[in-house]
Amino acid sequence: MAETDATVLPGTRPVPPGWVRQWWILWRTAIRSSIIYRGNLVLMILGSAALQGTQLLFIGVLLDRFGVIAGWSTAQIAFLYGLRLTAHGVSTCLFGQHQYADYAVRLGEYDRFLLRPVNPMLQLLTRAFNLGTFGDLALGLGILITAVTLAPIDWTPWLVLFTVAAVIGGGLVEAGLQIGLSAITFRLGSTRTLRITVDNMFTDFGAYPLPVFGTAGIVALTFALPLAFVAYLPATVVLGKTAELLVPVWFAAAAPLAGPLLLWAGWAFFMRQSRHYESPGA
Amino acid sequence: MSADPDDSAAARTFGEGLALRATLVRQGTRSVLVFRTDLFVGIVSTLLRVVLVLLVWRAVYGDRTEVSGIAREDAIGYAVLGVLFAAAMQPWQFSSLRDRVRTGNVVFDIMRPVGLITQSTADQLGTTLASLPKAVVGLTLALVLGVVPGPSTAWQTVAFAVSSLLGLVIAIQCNLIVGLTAFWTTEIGGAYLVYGMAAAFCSGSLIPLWLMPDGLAAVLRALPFSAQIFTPLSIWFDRDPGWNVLGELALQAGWIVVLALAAHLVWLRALRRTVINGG
Repeated sequence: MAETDATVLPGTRPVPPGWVRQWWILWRTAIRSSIIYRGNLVLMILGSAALQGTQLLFIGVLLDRFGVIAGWSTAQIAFLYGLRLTAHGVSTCLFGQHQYADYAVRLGEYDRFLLRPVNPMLQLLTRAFNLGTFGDLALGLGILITAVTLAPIDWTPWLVLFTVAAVIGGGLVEAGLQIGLSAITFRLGSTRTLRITVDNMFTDFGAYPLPVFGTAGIVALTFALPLAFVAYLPATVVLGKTAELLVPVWFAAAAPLAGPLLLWAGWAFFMRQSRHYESPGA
Repeated sequence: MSADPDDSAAARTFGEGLALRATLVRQGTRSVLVFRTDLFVGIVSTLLRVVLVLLVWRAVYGDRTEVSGIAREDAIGYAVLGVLFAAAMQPWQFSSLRDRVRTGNVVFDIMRPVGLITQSTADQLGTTLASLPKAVVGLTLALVLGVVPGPSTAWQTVAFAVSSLLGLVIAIQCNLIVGLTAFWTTEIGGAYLVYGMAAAFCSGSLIPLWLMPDGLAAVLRALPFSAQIFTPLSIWFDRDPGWNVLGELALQAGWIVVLALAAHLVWLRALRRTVINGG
């Protein structure tokens, strides 16, 4: 290991692989290392499911007593909920580790990220894997598929594609926002309350049709906090409820595009803020 | 590693013991308040939650004034108070034991001249006190908006205050018992999540037990969670309070005794299970 031979050994590469491949290798490694704690595996998946399940139970009880919320039937609310939760699962499965940015910065783990020949953000996202995120994804898909069979939707191939794009786009919206927020850690140290607040807002209020929150609420949850892009806007398109929108229909139909855009913005903001990183000297 | 943690505590006078506990509680408070941004964000998020919960409940009631015998303003007031109670009594990280056990630092805690249980409960109480500003600001907003009705009589207010305190004690006891399970499982992030969410739902902080299906409500009434938040809130919203209020308070006191015994038993076993992972 000690010698640094310039010749390229068979089966090795002279240059590191591209970003996607780097991410894939590191991400798989993180999953493998997280499976070691078998007992915790089950609990983590249950835990994440419980986290979301509580909200589901809450809405379930409400719908049981009230039947319809703001003109949306149980099946339609279930679709909205499933769409949001699946998007959340996409975000947490692939990008969930951003929540440890505080930790990595405060304890100097970030020093190591800077020393390695891989993008620091990529290393942060693959530093470990939270198995509970599979619980989000599984529960979300379960609800989404159930809702699809219950809600009256006129499926076309285009609409199926749109739903898939909405799930991925919604996940990227959440990931981009959270990565952007975690960048503040380079300035303030602790971003935990901020991130958890936004996360809880998404969990607790993402499952309602936005008109529930009034005009001011709709504007705030669309443009100040991009909650509408995660599930509500695409859901109105799929469920044919675009008549209640305040924004043009094309805007709702383009909602999945907000995902890649926000992810790019969040990532760029994180890298820019990381210039203010001060090593704790650990 | 198994010295009796309360050995030296016996040597102290009562006054010293009290002062010591007060210091520990203050430390717990400061450990939260030291992050000023978190405090600010916490207050803003509580205010937002109050408004959003208010809007959700208004929307689900729509034009109806009463559903399942629950008046619209009662349901809204309950939901808003529930948010504030949850903000104060159900913190995201409800026990420091988890981290202490996982990192092995718990060994230092055990060696200290104050018992681990005392340290942990004082820390939790301190954390709760630190979240009071959030709850107070939220309550102010709720009162300004006129969504939380005032109490009908003075004694009902007193009963509500007593019940809230008993509820807080029960919440801390439950958290402690779950926190102690860290000695068996070491890494229990998942169990904590399950517990935290179960507590949020079962305590009635999200939705009053009145609105739940009858069977579910009966089960939840039999668990200690409902004694944390639902009991004080139901006293507040009781239109015709009578002797039943005393019965509720007695039930809470009963839970405190039962949970204290349970916590003691778990702790005695936990101490023998202590595993220290090297330096």
